[in-house]
Amino acid sequence: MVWALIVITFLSFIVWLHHFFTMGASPNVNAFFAIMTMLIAIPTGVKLFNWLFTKFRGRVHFMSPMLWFFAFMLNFSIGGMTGILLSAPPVDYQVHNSLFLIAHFHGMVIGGVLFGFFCGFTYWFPKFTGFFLSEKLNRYAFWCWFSGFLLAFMPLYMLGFMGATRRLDHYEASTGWHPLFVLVAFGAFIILCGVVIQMYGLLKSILDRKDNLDLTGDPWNGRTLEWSVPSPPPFYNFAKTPIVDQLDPLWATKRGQAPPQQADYEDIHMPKNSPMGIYMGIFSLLFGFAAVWYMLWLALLSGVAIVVCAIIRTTGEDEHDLISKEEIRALEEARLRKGTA
Amino acid sequence: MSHEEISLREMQKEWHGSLSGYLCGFIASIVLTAISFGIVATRALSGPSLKYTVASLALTQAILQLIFFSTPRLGS
Amino acid sequence: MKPLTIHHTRDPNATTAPPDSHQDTYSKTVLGFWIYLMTDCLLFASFFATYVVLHESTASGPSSQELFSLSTAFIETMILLFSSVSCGFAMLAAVKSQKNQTIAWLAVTFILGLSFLAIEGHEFFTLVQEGNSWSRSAFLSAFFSLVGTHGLHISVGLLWMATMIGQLTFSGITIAIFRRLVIFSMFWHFLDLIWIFIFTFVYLMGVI
Repeated sequence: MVWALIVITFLSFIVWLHHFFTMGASPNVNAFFAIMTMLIAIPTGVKLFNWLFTKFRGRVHFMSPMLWFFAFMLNFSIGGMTGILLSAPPVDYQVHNSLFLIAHFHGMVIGGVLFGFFCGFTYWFPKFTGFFLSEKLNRYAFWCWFSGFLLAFMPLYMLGFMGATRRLDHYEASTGWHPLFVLVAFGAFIILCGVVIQMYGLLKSILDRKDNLDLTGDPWNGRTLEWSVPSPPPFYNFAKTPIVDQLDPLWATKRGQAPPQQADYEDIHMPKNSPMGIYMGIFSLLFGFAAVWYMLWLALLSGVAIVVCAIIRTTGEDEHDLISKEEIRALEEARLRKGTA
Repeated sequence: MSHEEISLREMQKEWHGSLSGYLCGFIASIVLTAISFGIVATRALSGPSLKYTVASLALTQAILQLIFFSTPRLGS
Repeated sequence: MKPLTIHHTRDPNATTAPPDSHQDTYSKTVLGFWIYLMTDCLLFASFFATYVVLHESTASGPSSQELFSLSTAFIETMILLFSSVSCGFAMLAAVKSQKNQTIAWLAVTFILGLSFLAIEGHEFFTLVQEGNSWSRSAFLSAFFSLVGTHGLHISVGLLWMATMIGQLTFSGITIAIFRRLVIFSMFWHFLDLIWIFIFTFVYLMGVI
């Protein structure tokens, strides 16, 4: 997994011309980038199979994060395979800027990035908020997204092959493509339903949060160390820094193969809170806006403000907050008392 | 045991730079720069040999500057 | 089916004692700044690669042979070299906690850096005045991007220096200020390093 990542990291710097196959570089240049793009599929495949094989001899619980994960695997693979098709310059010359390309990159981005994001969001939501997302509504949203995505984008592959160009506002009726476009529109509508359900689900979960508290900090019976802290984690994360001397120490502890963490409470050094980061973000937004619309006065003002914030942030000696071990002990014991009450 | 911050004294002791180091790097850089400019200005060499020579001089100066001028060493 | 036994190998070298002192802020900051300099290196490497590919694409406009002056480049190089040394002297004073000497040498570095920027600014201004701005040709786009980015870094360095002089004046040499001086000197030496490659591959090679 690690080597696959390293290989992808390296290769990812030398594939970019596959976006410009049709822009007039020589066949040799195109061939180089075609080969690099095809090569990057190999370690990617390693990672995909690696993820799949983590299920080996496991008992798969189809909670909503798992649903999102499998949808990710399917859609990312399909998008990836059409990417291999596209990485051949002769093919790319035919389907560049067609709906085939649209279907491909939406598969990567929605199927890959977005579904992966929803998977992670759903999985870690209880950890960072302390309450659960509505599982039922999440499932409804998932099925809408998944079926809607397939319905909306698979026909685009066909349309692209048949010659439909991207970024057109209409297609002649004489092409005979209308039925497929109706399917696509229907799929888009189903995705919209999914989005609406997600937003409603988030809102409802927040309103119902008192009834859905994550009291154990470990709702999924997790293997990794973040599940050993309460939900949401205290501001110092771990009260005692865990000793990691093997893979998955938490899992080993749960299975009785390792003793639980023994360390005693210690002082914790935390960096001091500072609002400068947020201020700099806001001023950067203003600066960007001003730069786009040529508003010199606002650009200068916000630019200077960013620099001033940076200087303020990097001035002064008082950089850490020390939380004594007694304070940590008191905080932890109060939390345990509240939990068992 | 509490978090140990090192004191100013210790930080200053870790500093590896020295006057002789800086002067050495300075002289070396001046010499190498002068040679580079000299070769190009007088066209003492030409063609590929000129390019390779000048490039090697630049690389040498870069390495020497790294050695003599960059004093906080990693791992300190 | 026989249950799968996963043999977790425990690392015998792992410390089982609680960590008694974390890495201090100084070494963390220095390491972090080295990593930043490496990313900056990548940035300049990209600009260099672009320049190498495009330096002959003059679009029937003037070429490097017609535009670059060796004497200007030599003066700029010497200024930057001297400023690198004066920065080193500032650090030597800081190591001995000599506040006034540190400020003095930093001021020298600042003046030298400012002169560099003035000369380079004049060079850019002249080019633009004559109609040879970054939009004239790919060669000039690449030139202004590479050398301009370096100049931008120098400008940020000057601002940083001014801030350090201000902090030194008010607080003297404290732990945090010494640490900041250390990473500033890393930055300034790095910029001189990049300049070596600029004067070699842009100006020297450009004049041939």
